[in-house]
Amino acid sequence: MPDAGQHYEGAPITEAVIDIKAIIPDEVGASPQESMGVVRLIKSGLSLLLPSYKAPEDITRHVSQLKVGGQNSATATASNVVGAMFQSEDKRQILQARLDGFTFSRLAPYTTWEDFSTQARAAWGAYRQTFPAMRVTRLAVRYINRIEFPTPADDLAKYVTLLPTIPDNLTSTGALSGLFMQLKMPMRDGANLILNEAIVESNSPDTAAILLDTDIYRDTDVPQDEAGIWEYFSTLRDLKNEVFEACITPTTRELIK
Amino acid sequence: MISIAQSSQPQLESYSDDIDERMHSNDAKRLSQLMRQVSYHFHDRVTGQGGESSAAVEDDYYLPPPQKRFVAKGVLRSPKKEASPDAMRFPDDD
Repeated sequence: MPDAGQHYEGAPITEAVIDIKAIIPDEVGASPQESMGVVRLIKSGLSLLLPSYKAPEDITRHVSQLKVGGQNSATATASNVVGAMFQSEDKRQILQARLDGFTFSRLAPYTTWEDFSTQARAAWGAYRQTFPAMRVTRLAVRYINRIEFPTPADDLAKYVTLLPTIPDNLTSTGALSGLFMQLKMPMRDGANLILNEAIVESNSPDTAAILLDTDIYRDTDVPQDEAGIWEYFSTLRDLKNEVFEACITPTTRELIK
Repeated sequence: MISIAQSSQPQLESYSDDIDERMHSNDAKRLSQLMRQVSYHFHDRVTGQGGESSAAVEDDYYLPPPQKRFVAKGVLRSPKKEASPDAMRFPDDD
């Protein structure tokens, strides 16, 4: 298996995410009015850092309740502003800064981890300045990879190593018309992996496509200091690369190099 | 050899099913759609909504806690079967 840090020119990443879940102090954002005030603070802090992004949009959470009992029923709805979303002009980078955390997405084409994480770290720093006392509860990196390969897709094992074992007598052809598989497992250094694999429609009749979605996270004993958080993100990035390399074959490496 | 990992946390916590809210690419949306299809397929079978046996409901499998059970029976029972009066009765009727 090659070095897990190998860079592929044709990396099939369609979305990369750095995600931090956090709890802000109890007294902050207790009412809808306070929430709006907090979101306004977040927006003003991040707008200075992201001058080339479009004007932020509010993220609103709608809650509906239906109460049923006897002859009477009642409905109640409430809408709260819970965060702000910033989008770059080219729509390739999206930042969500919410009352419960922070998510930074990069859509294709992917650049490099260094570029991606540096931008995320700067934005996180501006977000955290609003509530220095916030408690971080989960750190995650999530990458969706779309591996496209030429048809006929007569042997998926040529391209991916992670496949279900199908009993010989279950099918005469071994052909799958659909696949969706989710694995969850602990990894080293306190991390956990949720891995989704799926056959999806291809962009071309000459190719077939498989998605590999790796979500690697830690939600216990999460580092709280800035150096510790970003050092751990580096570990999550290494794990993400190891998982990807473990799931692809030399043929796929040739396709994406 | 495959085994089941010892876990210190509930398996359904942090299940990464918030893909709709947090992600934006078409592939993320497609994955989300597939996850829902798997969920609906399971729901379809165990509740009999798709015309399959609703024995699982009768066996009290995949039902909410008892205090909410009347809602589940009223809503989830197969429309192709004639619901028993008990299935649709609310607690206040008792």
